[in-house]
Amino acid sequence: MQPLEVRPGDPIDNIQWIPADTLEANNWNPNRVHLAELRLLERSVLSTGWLQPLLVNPERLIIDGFHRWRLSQDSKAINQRWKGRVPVAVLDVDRPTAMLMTIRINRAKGTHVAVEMSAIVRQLIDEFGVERSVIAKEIGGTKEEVELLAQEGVFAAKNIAKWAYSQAWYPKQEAVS
Amino acid sequence: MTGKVRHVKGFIDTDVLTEAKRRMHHIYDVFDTVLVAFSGGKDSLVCLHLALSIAKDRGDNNPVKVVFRDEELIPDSVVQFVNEYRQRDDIDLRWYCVPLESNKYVLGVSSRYVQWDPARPHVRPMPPWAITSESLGLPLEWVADQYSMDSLATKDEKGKVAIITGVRAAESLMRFRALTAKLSENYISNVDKRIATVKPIFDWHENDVFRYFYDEGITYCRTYDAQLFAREPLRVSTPLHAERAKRLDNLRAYEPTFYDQVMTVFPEMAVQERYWSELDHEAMQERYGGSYDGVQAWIEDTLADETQRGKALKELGSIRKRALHSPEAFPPDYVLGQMMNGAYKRTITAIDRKQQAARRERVS
Repeated sequence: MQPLEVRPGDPIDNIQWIPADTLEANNWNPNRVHLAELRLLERSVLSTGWLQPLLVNPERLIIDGFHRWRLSQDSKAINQRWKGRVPVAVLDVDRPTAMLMTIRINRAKGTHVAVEMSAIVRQLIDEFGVERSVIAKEIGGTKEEVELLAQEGVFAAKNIAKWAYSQAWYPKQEAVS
Repeated sequence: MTGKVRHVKGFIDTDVLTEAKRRMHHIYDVFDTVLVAFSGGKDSLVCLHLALSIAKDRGDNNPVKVVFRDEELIPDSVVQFVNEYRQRDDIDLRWYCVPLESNKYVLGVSSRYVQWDPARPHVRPMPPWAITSESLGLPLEWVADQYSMDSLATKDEKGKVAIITGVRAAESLMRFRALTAKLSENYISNVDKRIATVKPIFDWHENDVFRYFYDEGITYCRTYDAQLFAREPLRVSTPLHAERAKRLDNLRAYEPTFYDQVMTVFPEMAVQERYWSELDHEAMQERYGGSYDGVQAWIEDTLADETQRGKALKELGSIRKRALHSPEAFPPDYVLGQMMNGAYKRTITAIDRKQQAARRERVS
């Protein structure tokens, strides 16, 4: 396979559309995207189109974007719509550098912070009137998760206003039969 | 009938709040000094507010004495919360930052570390108002344990001293057993002749705690809301202990800044976070979980720290003895699982009859 052309400037400066099946999977990728997340990713690509290219080296080895690449072949809808092609940005690095970059990029992606997640969900519901079921679908969550995030805090989530104090007790002896 | 007895809950015709207040009055009647051990957590917060209200009812205008043992590895949200109480006029809060024995848990192995260890950088600075080894004139190498901490906190107090804690039976089977061991005054345990720890809310449920805050308009520490959204059990405790360390990844979601602080000082915890869920429990079980000798081999192979190893071997010895009478209560694979979870620091409890029957069924 012909090596991809490396042009001057940042990789993002020139994006090429190439057939997905000419790329080599980075089978060392330690990042696991679970089925539910893969479906969410598919939904995202289909609804917005490609937002960012895959990152590959001149030998067509995937550095970042493995799961989007897999979708471009496994998802019939994505495969048909882009005729089996994917956008790539090319970075001139060797294999070990590519491997390290894969880990670094995945690790650098961070985590969603619970309190902020709750604030966003409440804003979507209260200010923009978005249905809870729609939020669940769009963020790839369950309805139960959205319900929890929509709560204002422990009192509401536990329905404390309706809780009556428990009955007090002391230890007592009981015969074991 | 075998003539055996066990201790169970004997419900009385009162709710937990009324009864806790009655217990608090009893404590004020019987002890010369009352100290509340406050952690910033919800359970000790109930105790603190109960003490404030009982002292007021009794016409006691002195500030309520509170001890806060700062564990170093606590998020700023908790530090700020406790600091608000420190500044109240009706509270006399002593904030201790002294080296204290503790354990951290990395991939199935628990090892010792010292909170506020003078020999390493700290997760956060000691607050200027803290009582430290230096301010107490203690030697630099002095490290406290729970007992010396109790003596330290009470040394200048008069007469018989009650240390009020928010321990509840509903928290774990271990706590339930400890709180039902004694039939009379089960919630008062003597530490020595002069000091006792007292658990006035031992029979409360978590919802009772929040109902009390709701009724009294008490603000709880905001870390609980974050934990709620992150689907984390509601707790204020250091993230390096066995139970918490297993869910360290979740700390990013509920205390992101604190996560960074902890990782800076204890980078080895990142290993725990990344690989705990992948640790091959089945392979460990296959290799070590077949017999008590296997469990012993696991202890000898993995617990490098002498004190830890000693504790684990002692616990295993006691299990070997207890198993002579009831072999089904301590299956070796279960004991290994408990050891891997760091449970040897306490007492490993027997599996109950239902579980024993279920295991018999699986085997046959």
